[in-house]
Amino acid sequence: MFFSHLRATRVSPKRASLAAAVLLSAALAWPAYADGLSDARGHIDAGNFSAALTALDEHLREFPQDAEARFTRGLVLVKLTRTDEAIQMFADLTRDYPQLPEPYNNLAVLYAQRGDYEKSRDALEAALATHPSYATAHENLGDVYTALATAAYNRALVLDDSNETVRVKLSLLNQLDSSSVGDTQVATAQPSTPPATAQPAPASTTPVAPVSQAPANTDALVDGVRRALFDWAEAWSNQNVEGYLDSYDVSFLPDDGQSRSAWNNERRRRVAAPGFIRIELIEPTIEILGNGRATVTVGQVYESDTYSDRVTKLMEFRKRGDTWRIVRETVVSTG
Amino acid sequence: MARIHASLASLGLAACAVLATPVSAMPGLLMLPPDPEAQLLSAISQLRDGDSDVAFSTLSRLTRQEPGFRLAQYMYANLLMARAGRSAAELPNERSDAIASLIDEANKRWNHRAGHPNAAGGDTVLPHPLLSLPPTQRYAVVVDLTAGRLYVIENKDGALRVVRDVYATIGRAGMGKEVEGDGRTPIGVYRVTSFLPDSGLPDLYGHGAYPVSYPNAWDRQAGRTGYGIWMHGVPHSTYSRPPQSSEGCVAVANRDLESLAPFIKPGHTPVVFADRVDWIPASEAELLAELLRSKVQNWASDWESLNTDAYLDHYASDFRAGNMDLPAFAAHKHRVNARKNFIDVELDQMEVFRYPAVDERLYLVRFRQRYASDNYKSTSRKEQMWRLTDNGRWEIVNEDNEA
Repeated sequence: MFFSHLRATRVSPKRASLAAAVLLSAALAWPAYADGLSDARGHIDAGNFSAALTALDEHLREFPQDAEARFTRGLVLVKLTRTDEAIQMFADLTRDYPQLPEPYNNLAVLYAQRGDYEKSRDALEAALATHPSYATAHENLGDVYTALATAAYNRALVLDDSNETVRVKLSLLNQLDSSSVGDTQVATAQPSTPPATAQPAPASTTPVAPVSQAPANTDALVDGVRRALFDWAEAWSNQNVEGYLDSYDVSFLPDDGQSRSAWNNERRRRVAAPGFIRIELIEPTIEILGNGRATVTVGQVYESDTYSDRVTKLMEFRKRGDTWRIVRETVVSTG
Repeated sequence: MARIHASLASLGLAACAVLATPVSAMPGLLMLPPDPEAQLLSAISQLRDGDSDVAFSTLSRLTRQEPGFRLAQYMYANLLMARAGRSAAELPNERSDAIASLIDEANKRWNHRAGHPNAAGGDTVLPHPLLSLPPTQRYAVVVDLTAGRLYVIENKDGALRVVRDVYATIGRAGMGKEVEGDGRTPIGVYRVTSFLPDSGLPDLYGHGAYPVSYPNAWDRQAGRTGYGIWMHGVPHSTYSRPPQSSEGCVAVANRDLESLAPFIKPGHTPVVFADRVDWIPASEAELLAELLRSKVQNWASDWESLNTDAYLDHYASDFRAGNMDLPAFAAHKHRVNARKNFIDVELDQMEVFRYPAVDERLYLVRFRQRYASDNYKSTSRKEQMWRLTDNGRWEIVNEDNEA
């Protein structure tokens, strides 16, 4: 699933065993389909999506109803940025296998990528109608609701739409991009139920994220947060005001209750004013909360020509596209 | 953001529960009234009742129908954030003034949820500035500038009755226009002078505009300046505007402006911009109107009698007509009347108003006057401002021939 690895930190060991069971049963159910698909997967692993598509098309000529192959074909089309065809592929799957939540979810992601959050919402709600506990769809729906809320809010206050709407779009888009890391495993674990003729397997109601990926992905996320944290400190040290302010998310709320614009002005002045600034970060502890959120506890030594202090800060980051941005910054202790 | 939550709470909108289950189709809502305001009010009352699912569905439909309805979008944004399991405080908060004006709009609309005062039947009450209309005048418009509400009053079979009311935006600086460019909506009694269609206007005015006759004689005497006070629509991308956001005009939603068309006759329809409206029994309005009509009739009779002193006794010592004060006016009348053998005055089509927002008890009468004497004949439209003094004397303080 597109989002699965990003959210893999949430998958419990219990779910992992369920997912494995699904894989096993899927393998037993469709032995005949395996060859063409595994060729395609080899190409996907090698990053050769055109070859993967050719292999899948060949395979589907022989087994036109192979839901798993069709689903994989949809993913490959996404990789080839043939979005219209990908949407068509997943839409066909939702029609042929309305009991499968995954095609709905992917359809939703592609709609969201285009900024069509209403359709995206409808697709996710359809996924949840058959699988009310489908966590990925819930989480995506949360993102889509947030995007819709931002759009509605911008319309309400006649704000510039470039505001946050675009960032939310980017966030979804990049979650799609990052799925390239593990497409094959994800795809293998996909349509976890047999095709339409059979009853949906009970296990398909659980998210089928490949748990083996979780640690690696968490590491990648931690790296991303650490990079954002050090970029922030570096911009501050270099008195690069724009770079410093850019570290803060559009939803960042100043801790002291100031308005964002007043805070911006104050920070602009304070970052630019000293003769020099030196920032040292001590033992950052990064915790990934899932859903594109992370907290950081870090010691901070600040020195300038006029002032110095040492504090411990609690910061919260939110993933926006490829980059993490600060949404909260609180001094938890001083001295 | 705490401020916003507080204001939402004051509307009873705080109950935006986080939903653990997905939205499903809401049954029983297929017959919602198509009027956006009615839908918005349903959503507010659904929220007050704790039915955030139903309110969500109502607002989802409403924002799709009227994407330019900012207040609906704002409420929808809040509910969507609740659904996303996030705090509305995460939304950008740079425009807290704009949010405050949306809350203001919500309150103004909510205050009128029961409809206009005659909607529920019962004894007819009327906006206190409108006392009487002649049979030739089928409708009048009264705008309550404080409430942000425009009322249409119908004159049918000799009785007045409110037939329609819509949300209305006034000047960014409020009301009580004094000078050009002050951003205020005038307070007074005017007339719709014309209709300017959409096609000839900038988008700002939306569906079209009804210019009104500000400044009137009373305004001019008070030294008020400015021009171009209109009742108009809103930009086509917008459903409605915040309560105080015009340059002094009265702006209503385009669909509301369209709905007013059957009631407004350019060149004829009276318009009252009142600072506030008290609702008085129709019988009380009629009693006062009758009193005014008799005073005006006495004035006309004294004029016809050629007893110039008795005629002039109807005028106040601070009377003005254009740039004439009372001594100048008296001299003029003495001179003119001295040469007459007869004067015949007939009055009809009389409109009677209690003048809004003045310290004194002032009443405006407007009528058609057919004047005939041995050497002159004319038909004109006249307006007179009458004052009831603390001593109980009725006197004319201003007189003008309507354009």
